[in-house]
Amino acid sequence: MYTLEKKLLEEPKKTSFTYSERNAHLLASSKDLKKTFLKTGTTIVGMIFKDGVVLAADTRSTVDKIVADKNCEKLHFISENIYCAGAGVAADTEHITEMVSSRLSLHSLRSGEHPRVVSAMTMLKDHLFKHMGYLTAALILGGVDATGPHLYSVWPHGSVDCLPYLTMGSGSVAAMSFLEARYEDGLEEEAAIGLIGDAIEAGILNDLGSGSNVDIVVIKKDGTRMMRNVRKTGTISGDDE
Amino acid sequence: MGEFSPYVDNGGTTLAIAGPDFVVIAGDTRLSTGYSILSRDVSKLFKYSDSIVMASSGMQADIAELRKQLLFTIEEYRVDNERDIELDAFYRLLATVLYGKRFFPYYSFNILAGISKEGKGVVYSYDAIGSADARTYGAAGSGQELVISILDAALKRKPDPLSIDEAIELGKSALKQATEREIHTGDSGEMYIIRAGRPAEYITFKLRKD
Repeated sequence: MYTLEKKLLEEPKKTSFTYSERNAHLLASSKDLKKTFLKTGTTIVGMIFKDGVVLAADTRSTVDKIVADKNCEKLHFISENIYCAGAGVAADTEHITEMVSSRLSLHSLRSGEHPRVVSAMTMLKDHLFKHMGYLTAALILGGVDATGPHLYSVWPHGSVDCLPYLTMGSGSVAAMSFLEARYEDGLEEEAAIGLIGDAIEAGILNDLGSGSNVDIVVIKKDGTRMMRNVRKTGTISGDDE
Repeated sequence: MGEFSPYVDNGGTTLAIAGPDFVVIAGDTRLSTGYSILSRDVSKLFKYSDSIVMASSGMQADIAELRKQLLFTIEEYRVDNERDIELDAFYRLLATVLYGKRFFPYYSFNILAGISKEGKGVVYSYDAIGSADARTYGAAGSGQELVISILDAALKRKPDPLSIDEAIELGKSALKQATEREIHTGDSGEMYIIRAGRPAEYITFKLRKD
């Protein structure tokens, strides 16, 4: 620290013209602001099955201990053949997937083909790496392209995993317990939807950051099926709904 | 390694509503830390006599210790005075026990409900170090802000006296609404309905489990 600054800090009674006090104040207040960001304390799951990829998410969005949205959408559209499930700060996951979606649509307009999942993954990880983890987006990216079905998880600092089944978010441990118990290669569509629904349900019931309903998207070579609120796990356990 | 902290918040919401000759007191049964549920079936209510029920939220370990202290003291009172403790004496006792740990408080937020000597329903609400006052209704715990607004809106300027059925429904509904919007509240609800001159009646109801 500069000696002048140090001297001024040691004599706090005198008026200071250095930025140190202001900076300390901004630092302290920015922490408070961060607390008010909408977080999707989430359960998200992705899985490869016989005919393609299936992604799923819960629908609770929270600010600290308060539920801000009881039925939000965490499965983000990237293209007809690619979807992305998002956990973390809601604004980050929404904007980053929107950005990649629009860039890929220009890309496929030019090439005349469906975009590839690797392209989306590369755009996401490059953007996240550039921002050094300050964008709080933990994503599960899945889709089917000319080279087959693909599934990736992309972490806030820009690292990527490529696995046949993945979970992320605060409910990831609860969800993973189901996948580790019941996942196998080449599952039929119905079995895959059942398993992924159970995995999200485990997050909804056992993780306080996750709640309400189950959303599922099934992506196959011959088309994509978005199924919103397939299970209403949160509300049916009460006696009046 | 993180520094040791003697306190944890186990969440949960409690409330009580008094009427002319009755009082209802309720709470949820979820026990949690952070984003984890420790139990879906732990009571926040404790009945000390036919007409005195206390609802506690905060840290479960401190609440258990506080209950033990109170139980011991009222047993002593029973032996010494050859009768059960009255609500006004219990109210003073709880305040004194809490203040006894003024500089290392029990992490507990209590609401006391009972019938006074005059046969009226009374609610006392406390802070962690034993400041207390008599009210007609109160709420405490992780969903306090949500519940108190609901009770304020329903009761602050109510022209006619509150009926017991209204109080029961209001209490249930306030807890259900807190469960909708507060993540540490849920699983199931329980309620004591205390009428003057009658032993307290106990009911339970379902809440969201997510």
